[in-house]
Formats: sequence, C-alpha cells, structure tokens
Amino acid sequence: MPKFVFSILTVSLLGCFESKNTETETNTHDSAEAIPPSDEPSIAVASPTLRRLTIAQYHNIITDVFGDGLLIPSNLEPDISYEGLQALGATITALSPVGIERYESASYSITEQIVENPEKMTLLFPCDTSVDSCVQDSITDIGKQLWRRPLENIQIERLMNIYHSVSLASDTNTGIQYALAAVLQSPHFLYRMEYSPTLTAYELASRLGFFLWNSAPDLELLELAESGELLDVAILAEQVDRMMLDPKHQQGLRNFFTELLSLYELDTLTKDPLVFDHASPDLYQSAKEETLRTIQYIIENDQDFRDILTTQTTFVDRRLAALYDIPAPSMTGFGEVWLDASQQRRGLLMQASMLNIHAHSTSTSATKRGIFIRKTLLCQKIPPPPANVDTSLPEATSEAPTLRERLQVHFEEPSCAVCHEMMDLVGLGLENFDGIGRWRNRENGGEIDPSGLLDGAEFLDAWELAETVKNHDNFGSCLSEHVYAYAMGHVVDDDQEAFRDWLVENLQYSNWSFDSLLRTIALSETFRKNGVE
Amino acid sequence: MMFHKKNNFDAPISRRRFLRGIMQGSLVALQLPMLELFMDRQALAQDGGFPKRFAMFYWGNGMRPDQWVPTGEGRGNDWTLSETLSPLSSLKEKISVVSGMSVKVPNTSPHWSGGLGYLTGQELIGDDDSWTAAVPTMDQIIAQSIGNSTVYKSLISGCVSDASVSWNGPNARNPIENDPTLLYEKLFGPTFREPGSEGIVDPSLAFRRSVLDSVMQDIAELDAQLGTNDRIRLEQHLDGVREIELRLARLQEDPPSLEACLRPNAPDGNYEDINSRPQFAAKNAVMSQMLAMALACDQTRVLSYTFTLPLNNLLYDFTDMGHHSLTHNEPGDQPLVQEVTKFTMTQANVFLEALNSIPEGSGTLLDNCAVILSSEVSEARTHSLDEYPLILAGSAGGSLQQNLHYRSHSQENANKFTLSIMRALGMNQVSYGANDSATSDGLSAIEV
Repeated sequence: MPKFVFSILTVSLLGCFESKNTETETNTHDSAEAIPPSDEPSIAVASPTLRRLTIAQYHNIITDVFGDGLLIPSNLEPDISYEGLQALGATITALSPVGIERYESASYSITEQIVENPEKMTLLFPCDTSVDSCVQDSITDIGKQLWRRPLENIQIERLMNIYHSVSLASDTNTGIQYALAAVLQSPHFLYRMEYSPTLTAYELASRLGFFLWNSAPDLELLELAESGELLDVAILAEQVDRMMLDPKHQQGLRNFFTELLSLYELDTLTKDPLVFDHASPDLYQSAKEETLRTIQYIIENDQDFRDILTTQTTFVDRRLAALYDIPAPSMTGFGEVWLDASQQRRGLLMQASMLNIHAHSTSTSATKRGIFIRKTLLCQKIPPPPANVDTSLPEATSEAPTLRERLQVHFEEPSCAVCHEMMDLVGLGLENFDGIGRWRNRENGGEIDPSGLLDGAEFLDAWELAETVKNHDNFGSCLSEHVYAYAMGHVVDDDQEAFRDWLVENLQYSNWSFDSLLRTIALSETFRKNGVE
Repeated sequence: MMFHKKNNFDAPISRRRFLRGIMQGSLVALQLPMLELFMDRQALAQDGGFPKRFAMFYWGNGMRPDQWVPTGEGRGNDWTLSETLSPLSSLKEKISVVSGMSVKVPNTSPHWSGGLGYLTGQELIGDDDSWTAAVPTMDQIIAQSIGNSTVYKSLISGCVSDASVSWNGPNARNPIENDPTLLYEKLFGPTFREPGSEGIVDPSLAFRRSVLDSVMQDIAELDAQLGTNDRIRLEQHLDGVREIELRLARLQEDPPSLEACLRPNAPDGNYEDINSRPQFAAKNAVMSQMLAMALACDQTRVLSYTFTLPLNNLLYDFTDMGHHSLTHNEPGDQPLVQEVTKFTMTQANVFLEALNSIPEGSGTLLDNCAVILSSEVSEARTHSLDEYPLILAGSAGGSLQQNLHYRSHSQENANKFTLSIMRALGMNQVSYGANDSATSDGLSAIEV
C-alpha cells in the first residue's frame, strides 16, 4: 500500500516544471501500425558558434593523424558541461591564459615525440626532408587533416617561415617540430568552425566526423570534400553507413553517452569509505564501463533503444558482480550476464553508475535521482531552490527510519513541496539501492517503500518506475533533443521544435533504433545548415 | 636595498626592434603592444621600494563563528586570538581579523553563492547545473591592474584541490596548478635564471615566439569572419597568447636584481594520499616555499591559492568522515569541525611564514603583501553568509592596518573589506560589487 503523501496539485505547480512535449501526438503502437514519417520540415537553425575541441577530441585527432603510442598530456583546459553536454559547453568557453599555456606545451611535447620517432617521420614525411618541397607538401597535408580543411597559401608560407628560421638556427627536424607545433596551437586546430549558412563540403565532413566519431574526418571524407562529391545525397548516405561501421563510431557513441549521463563524474567520485567500504575508484570505472557496454550492446543489435531502461542484459566484472551479489561471469574483465526475474535490478536506473553519481557521499539522494530522471531523461525543467534555504534534513529516528519519512519535511512547507514532489516522489522509487548501488530491504530498521508517482502514473517499485519512464511521452523527444544539440551545437528552441518532432516520428517508425536516429540527423538538410545572425 | 634592473641597452627598447634582432626569417607585420615591462620596472627602480603583492589563501567548508571570532575588539592588546585562530599567534602582529561581515548575495546555491559572491563581489549567474561567475574573480581584477610587468600575470595554484577559485569571467574558470613537480618545472626549470647569473638565454624562447606570432596572425584572420560573441571569445584567446609572448620576452632579458631570489630545491616528495588522507602539511610546505620564492623573484605579484576546495569531502588524520559530511552530520558544537578549521589555520600559518621568512628591505615579503584568508561560507551546516571568515595578513607596504580585530555590529558588506585592499594595492577602484552587494565605501578601520 503506497504510503507516500499525495498532495493535490494546484495550478501554481505548472510554473514549477515545464514539459516540452505537450503537442506531439505520440505513437506508441507497434511497427505494424506505425505511420511513415512525413517530409522533413524546413526550419530555422541557430546561428553558428566556434566550438572548442574537447579534451577527448584533441586526443582522438592527434591519434588519428599521428598514430598510436604518443604520450598526450591530459592536463589540458577542462571541458565544461552546459545544458547537460560538454559538446554544448564547447560553444561558450574560450581558453584561459593557463589553458593556452598548456596547449602550447602540449604541442611541443607531442611534436618532439614525433620528430624523434623515425617510423612516424617516414610515414608523415615520405620523401627527402632536405628538400623544401618535401617538407612543404607534407606539412600542408598534415595541416589539412588537423585543421579539417585545406591550408591557404599565406598560412603555408607562415609555417614554412617558421621551418626555415628554426632549422637555420638548429636543424631540419627541430624546424619541422616548430612548424607542426604552430599547426597544433592554431585556432584552426583548436576550434571547429562550421560557419557557412549552407555547409561547404569540408564543413560537412567536419560536422559528420565529430558527430559520429568524436574526431576529425578521415582522408576518404576529405577527398570527397575536395571533389565536392560529399554534397551528393547518395554518396553522403554511403559515407554515413561506412562511418557507422567504422570502429571509431564506438568511440563516438561512448563519448555521447559519457557526456549525456555525466559518466565522467565517476572519474573523480569519492564516497565516504566508512559508510561504503566497497567503494573504490576501480568500482566507479567498472560502473562506467558497464553502462557504456550495455548501451553499445543495445545499439549494436539495433534494439528498441527504450530497452535501456528495462533490459535484463548487462555487462559486469568481478567487482560489480560482488556489488550486485551475483556470480562473476569471469575472473578478469567483463562478461555479459542475464539478470533473471529473481534479480531486483534491471536497466540503466538500477546500474551502479547512475546510483552512485546521483547520490551523496554518505547516502542516497531521492532528490538527485529524481532530478536526473526529470531533467536528463525527460527534459523537464525544475527551478532552483529559493534563496537562503536551510537544506539540512532531520536525523533518522525510530518513528522516521527511512529517507521517505525524513523527507516529509520537504512536503510540509508548500514552497518546498511544489518542486520536491516532482523530484522526491520519483527518486524514492530507487531507495532499495543504497548510495553505491547495493540492494537493501530496510534502512535503519524500517522497511523501505519504493512506490511513487510520475506525472499521474503511480508505480509500486523500481521496475515499475523504469517502465513508467520508458513509456513517458517525453522520452523520445528528450533523447532526440539531446542528440540534436550534440550534433548541431545548440539546444532545441521554438524554431527547431518541428524538426525535433519529425525526429521522434522517425524514431518511432524505426522501432526506436538509435542508429536510425543518428542517420536521420546526418542525412537531413537541417544538419547541413546554419542560421544567419 | 635598492631594487634596480641591469639594462644591456642604452636606448628605450621598442618591441619591434627586439623581435627583429631575434628572428632570422621574414618580418611579420603585427600590431604589437608597447613594451610596458621596461617602463614599469624602471619606474620601480626609481621608486626604491618593493612591489605590492596580493595573495588569496582559500579553504573549503567555512568555520564555526562561535569558535572563530577573537575575544575583544581593537588593536594590539585589546584583542586576543580565539582557540581556532591560535595557530596564527606567531604572526598576530602582522594580521588583522575582520568579523561580523556579510556577503550580500542571494544564497541560492549552497556553498557557491557565497564562494562566487565574495570572490567576484557579485551574485553568480546561471542555474543549478551551469552556474558560473558573472565577472572575473578579484585575483584576476587585481592582476589586470598590478600583474602587467611580471613574467606571470598571476599564478593560480593550490594544495589539495582539483580546481581553482579563480575565474576570468563567465564560463572561464582558470585551471589550477597543484602538482609541485610541474609547478617547479614551470617556475624554476630551464627558463629560470637567478639574478646575477651568467646563463645563456634559451634559444627555444625565440623559436616559441615565432610560433606565437604565427598563431596571432591566424587569430587575426579568423576574427574577421566571426559573429560578435565568438569575436569576444577569440579576443580572450588572443590575450592569452599575447601574455605568453610577453612572458617569453621577459625571460629573454636579464632577471631583476632581487637579492632574496634564489632557485629553491626541487620538490622530491611523493605526495600521494596515505591511508585515504591527503598529505596536507607536506604539500602545503613545498607549495608555500615555491610560491613565496616566485613572489620574491618577481615572477608574479598575484597568487590564488586554493588550500582546499568548497564542498570538499576530504579526510584528515583525525577524522573518519569527509569534511563536508562532517559539517552537516557532526552534532552539537562539532569539535571535529573545529579541529579541521584549526588545522587549516596551522597550514595558513605555514603559508604566511614562508612569505615572512623572505627579507625585503628593512622588512619582509609578507609586509609588502596583502593576503586574504577566506572560505566560501561561515557555518557550513547552514551555509551561512553572515559572520563571514575574513583575515588580512601583511600590510601592502604599510597601507593596511595590522594587529587589529575589527568586528562589524551591523552585518556590513564584505565587499568593503575587498575594496580597501584593492585601494591599498594602488588600484583606482571606485566601487565594487553589483545590486545589493554594490559599495563604494571601503572599510576605513583597516586602512592606514
């Protein structure tokens, strides 16, 4: 019997959270009755912005162009998250003086390793470096791959000037080193500039590379950009297919979900070791891996992407198996497991990653878990708390042993209840999973009640919560919005809603294939546009 | 001891002439800023004094006002340090404690409303997930004013912290240098020359400058094609590149002749956690010494030092619960919370003593500094912004009061404290803050 407090939702609550998907008629029928999507709507797109390379992109491009085995400094200027994505943070940050310093020293560290590596030098400079034209042609070629477009003559001249003046004072390889360093320090490398109202072939190649691979376009794409063939729809479709089969696509997918689900927080997470003695950085890395592999599995098998919330398939290592109290699939590394009906957990919400991130260092947090579901999975807005509020909760007592009882204080004060009901009544559904994701029936001697309410749908436990989120009207549109923002560099605004709705139509028609969503965006006309200021 | 600069050239140097002498290749036509550094340092030489410096020593999770506030108010013997502040007793005569002030911003974001509220003087902007500074933090405002003639405009470092408390503006948080070995390499590595030494200028400095010039050309060409917001971002990028170039130019000249400047010993420690506890003392000792010497060698005049970060959940030798959790969960008078604060003051004393151990003229480096010790809240349990922790150390060359406990009985604006310090550093700061936190009054009690 649900024991939660059920308040009558007054009109004033509508100011508390906004559902962005109030107008689309969602189609939850199965494929036999699915309606084919309409034609792509023509929309206005936001005006373009420079997009700074993220640390991951910096690494990926260097590796693509210069090969493996280079020690790439990791202490570059940190990425920032904006509207839930670092891809969006990249559109608003500049570089701090220290950040530029670090890119400067990174460029020398990387180029020094290159010029001191005879194998790499032979590959990059497959000619006689004592001859000027050899050096020039090779640097021009490398520059094109790093800058994602051909260098202009004046730029080549500047680089060759550096080469000449330095090699004169030192030697050829040092000259090459400094010229390459100039390429790496250039804003043409560090920022993405896809600026034309209709993307040029090179800009399209760039946008595709970053969207599907989180890296620069490769030589094949650059060739098709040079000839202009990439702008042909049929060739573009072939390339998108090729790119999605390329191993780099996995890197792209993993990056998107790492950003969206804030999995990078697991890299620096700390829990109180006294409260959680199973906690360790290794566990958090395993947790990150579990979530990414589960997502990759669903996408690879082209399953209904909503299954991510309820799937009984997961991937665990020894550490996670211990946390979940299941037999380890292998002594080392990860193995696929099936969580049968006797298991209390299934799906993303009940994976260690989500349970750890959306919690406190000494406990769970129904509020944080509720916020995650509302904001990240359903794209609903929750306003900030009022100023000067005391956020301390009462201690557990014998009358109020579990978090549910202690949170009553959120519901007693109307100015708190208005928003906290939206968050807490959802997050409490996961209370059987403690702050590092272990199952528990009781807390402080009291029985845990995991029932709750999500937008009019009651649920009895975490499984039902997962089903409710999966079937929520917003899930598809929210996912589409995130992928759109990741691809295009701006959030969906009023002007782009029609396109987002069209994406949802396509998503449903494809039986919720994530790959299909990516393909729809990559091949759309909208993808090839920018707004004009 | 007179501070004078050895100058190898007779005539005032124009930067273009300097560059031409270095580069062998073709000329690059650039709009180059005038070489301020020579002018500034010559002025300094005529002045005969030592430059004024600013430092921020910042720790996370506040303090307990009831255990922090000194007994008695006024000067000298009129006041005594509290138990929590007793670790500062060796320097009581050089510090001033200011109590009872408030940070006048809405407290919407626990910890960071106060943090950014004090550090920028204004309310933070953005929502829960993406809050950021509305304007640069005070260390950067001060650096813009007093940081233009040194190798580094400011140094942003810390002890046990992964991030700084220094912003250049919205969405522009400065990365932190918290690795002693890397910081040593940067400050006292191959580019450092002790005053009076015969060292050869590192040729790579010239090579690096030619690369930076090319980058600045790239930026100039790109700029023309961009929208307004992007232009601003790229301008910031350009400023950063210019800063490096000026730094390299300074490194190519003879170092200023400052007697106390010596290359310190390289840090040799392994600063890994022991038993899940950071090595606060060991790390703070080595960082303090390096940063003090960086000031003594005039490599910078502005320091932002994050001892620990707001909201940190670090463990100490004497605690078994993370600091932030402790502030919320420890009952009653919270003796462990007090112990952490007292320990922090011990480390602050180490930092200040490092500055005080360097002689400058008839006094010490600390005398020529204005150091602020602060945290993002007072009582962390309630995230209070009243009874805000503010300590001043040093007198900025005799411009600020020392050995004073000033207690506000009317919850005055904490920005008044900041404003007085900025003015003592020689800045023409008319006002500070915005909206409810705006003030054009300093805190006259701490002014000389």
